[in-house]
Parts: sequence; C-alpha cells; structure tokens
Amino acid sequence: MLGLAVLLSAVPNADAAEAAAVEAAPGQAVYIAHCAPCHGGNGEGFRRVYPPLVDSRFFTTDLNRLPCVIRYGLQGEITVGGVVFNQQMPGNNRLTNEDMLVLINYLQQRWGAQEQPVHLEKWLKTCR
Amino acid sequence: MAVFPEGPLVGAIPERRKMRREKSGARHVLAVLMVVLSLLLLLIGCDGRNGADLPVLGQVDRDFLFHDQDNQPVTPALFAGKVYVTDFFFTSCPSICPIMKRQMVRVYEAFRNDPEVLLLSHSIDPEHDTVEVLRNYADGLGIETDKWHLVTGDQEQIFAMAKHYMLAAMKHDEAPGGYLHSGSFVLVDNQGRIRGYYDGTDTKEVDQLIDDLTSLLRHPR
Repeated sequence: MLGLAVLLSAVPNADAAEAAAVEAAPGQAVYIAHCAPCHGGNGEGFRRVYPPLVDSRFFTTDLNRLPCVIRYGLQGEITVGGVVFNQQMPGNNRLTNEDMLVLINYLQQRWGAQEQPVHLEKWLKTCR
Repeated sequence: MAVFPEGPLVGAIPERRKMRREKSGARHVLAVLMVVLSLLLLLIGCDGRNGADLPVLGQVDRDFLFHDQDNQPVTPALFAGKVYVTDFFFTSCPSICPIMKRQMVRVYEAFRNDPEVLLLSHSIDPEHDTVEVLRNYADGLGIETDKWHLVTGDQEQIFAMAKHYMLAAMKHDEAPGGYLHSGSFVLVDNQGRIRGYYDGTDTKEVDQLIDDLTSLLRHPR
C-alpha cells in the first residue's frame, strides 16, 4: 500500500501549485520547528503575545527587514492587523543562511503576495 | 393497603394471595426504585476519575518568596487551601514554553470563575524576566494577576522549587533558549499534596488535568 502511494506521488504533475508546494516543503519543516510554537501552525499568532503572520508586511513591503528579525529578534511596540504588540521576539542563531532562505521562500509563498528575490547576505549586513 | 378488620389470616385464600401479590409488587417497585436511584447517583456523581482516587505523589512544603507581575510578594500562604497548577517557563523560550502557555490559558479559562483554583508559573530566567517583563507578558496574555501569578525571584530559589516539585530546570548552553526544563504542569490539591503531573505541551494530557482538577474540586479528599 505504501509502495503504491510512493509510486503515485512520484508521478510527475504539471500542476504549478503542487510543484511549488513540493518546493516549499523544506521551508515548512523549518517553520514548524522554529516558528510555529509561537506563531502557530497556521500563522494565527496567540492573543496579544505572538503576532499573527498572515498578510505580514515582513513578507511583502518589509521583506528586506525579515532576515534581521529572524536572526536577531525584534522588540518594542509594533502594530499588526490593528493590534498593538509589545513583546520580545527572541533571535534565532541556529538557522543557517540556507535554512533562512528556504524559510523565507516558504513564508512568502504562504502569506506573502508574490515571490520576490531574497538578498540574504546583503540584508543581513544592515542588522543593528 | 387493604385492611382486614378480622386480622390478616381471616378472609379467603384468594385475598391472601392478592395481598402477597400486592406486597411482592410493592417490593418489586422498591427494588426498581433502588436500582434507578443508584444508577442516578452513579451518573450524577463524579464523572471521570474520583478526586479521592488521584494518587498522592508528594507534599509541597518548602517556603518561598517570589514576586509576581504586579510586584506582589508570592508565598505559600497565597495557595493555602487552594487547588493550584504550577509550571516553569521563561518568556524568551522559543520551543516548548509558548505551547505550554497556550495550554495553561486553557486551564485558566476553564477555571476562571472558580476562586478555589489558582495558577502559578515560575520564570527560570529571572535575570531577563523581571517584574516589568512579566507584567508586559501578562498583558499580552490578557490574564488577571490574582488568578494566575507569573513569578520571578532568586534563580537558585526558583531552581530549588523546581527540584522540590520534582521537575527538572537548569541552565544548558546547547538547549534552545539556554535552559532545559520540564514541560510538566503539576496539580497540587488544597492540602499541598501533588496529585498529578501532565505534559503541558500535550492537549490530551491537559484535558485530563482539567478533568482531574474538576474531580478534586468536587471531592476534596
């Protein structure tokens, strides 16, 4: 039965969405391991402690700020979806640049608008 | 019931038989009533585990002095005669704590209106988790201090309390966040006896905690 399932899943599928989903799989694994505990499996956030990620401007207009936020965290007041948050997001120095790249691609795909190129090294240089 | 003015033995046999049938009929009704009553008692009585059946896993009797998110002193006196749930966490914890907090919020909401139940969360990173940070965090959670105390204090004392509750809590460079600690929720009854440990990251175990806590409230012994 399992063999059949593996065979079926190996059948090439012209569906672009599915191809993209397969591509995003490693990013999803990073998300689940490193981000989901706080931000939720569906990016829904939690009360006024962890902001939701759905439609986050960090995946669209402020994409260039995202690598710094992921690596070094974020604190101070921010407004997300009309709600004010003022907690401390811890940085994550366990994610390699490669991990971050797949994660950011996943995030863009899931909650961003369109896929923009990610200039990781350049943007990481601007972190304070 | 029929009355035989001449005494029970007087009268035709059919009447005696009738009386016996009436008596056994009454006995049947009584028996059925008893069964129904016991069934009812069984049903409306404790559902799930009987509070008295929960094991006694330890006694909490160590003195402590911490401060909560409102900078109020928190000591054992606050929990005397109350049933409480306690855990250990830190606000910048990236892995299990957020999940634990989500689950603890479920416990908070389940017993929100019951003054007999309190919650106590200890920060194992008091250097970072000052009263102000905890105040902020509590605001984000939207919780009332007097119901759910988030406490900070001397780190050695907090680790000692974790040890007292028989939970692990220690600094560890390799661990995410820098600390290794147990994700358990500890259920303590109104006599300071530990009645259960539940994995605070597991929804089903927290379901069980809520059930057991409810049983404890109904059957305090």
